[in-house]
Amino acid sequence: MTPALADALVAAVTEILEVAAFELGDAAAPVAPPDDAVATTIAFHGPPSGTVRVWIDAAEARAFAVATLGCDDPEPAVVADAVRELTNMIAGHVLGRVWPDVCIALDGAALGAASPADAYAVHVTGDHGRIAVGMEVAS
Amino acid sequence: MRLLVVDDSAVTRAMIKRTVAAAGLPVVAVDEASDGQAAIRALALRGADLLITDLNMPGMGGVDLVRAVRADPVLAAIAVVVVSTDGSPARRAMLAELGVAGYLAKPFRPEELREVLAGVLAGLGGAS
Repeated sequence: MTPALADALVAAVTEILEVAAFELGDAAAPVAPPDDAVATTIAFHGPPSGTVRVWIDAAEARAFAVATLGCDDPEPAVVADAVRELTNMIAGHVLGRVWPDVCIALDGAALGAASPADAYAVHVTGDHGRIAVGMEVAS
Repeated sequence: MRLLVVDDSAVTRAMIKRTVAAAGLPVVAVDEASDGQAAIRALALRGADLLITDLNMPGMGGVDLVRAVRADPVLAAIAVVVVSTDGSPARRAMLAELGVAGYLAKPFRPEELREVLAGVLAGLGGAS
């Protein structure tokens, strides 16, 4: 991953945290995903095409859902939906800024197991935990 | 005014409905749909003055939905606001060509959505 793309990913996550969850995020050193992390992937199709991968600490995922929905006790399905939408926002934010002259289509974000730790180059800590993001550009 | 909110994320639909409810806009009803096909069915059943739609959705996405609305003589005059993660200048230019009245990038602050909707509704004859 180029430094410019890594910077764009950090900017995307911190801006989304601030606007959607009223949190100030800070870039952090990578760590391995914990067992209870909520992990997602989203594919994009241009050119360029590729994949954005996200994992988020369970506490941060729940806090994000609470902040965006304004409810106190979101169901697990609601938390999962919020994380899918967070992934969608991160991907759209980065793609629109790195490739502003191209209409790039995004698939829906899918929940799944986290990839190996080295698939997530960018880490940002929020008030309740960590969001890690990786991006692979195939073409 | 009657609104139709189209987004595959129930979280985002709830966020938009909550913002509309709190904004004091002249809205009497807010319907929901989770994709373009469901939106077309809802419009055929109940109509709408304003369509608020995401772009990236499974099945019929927002661009195809707007094209279908514009091609239908009964629905063509419905105002459209796009709320999407896809905020590239290229996408915005394409939406402008489709006659989209407003655009808002996700994530949005409630006051940003209120401002966009108030402007569009004022253009439709509703007070903001």
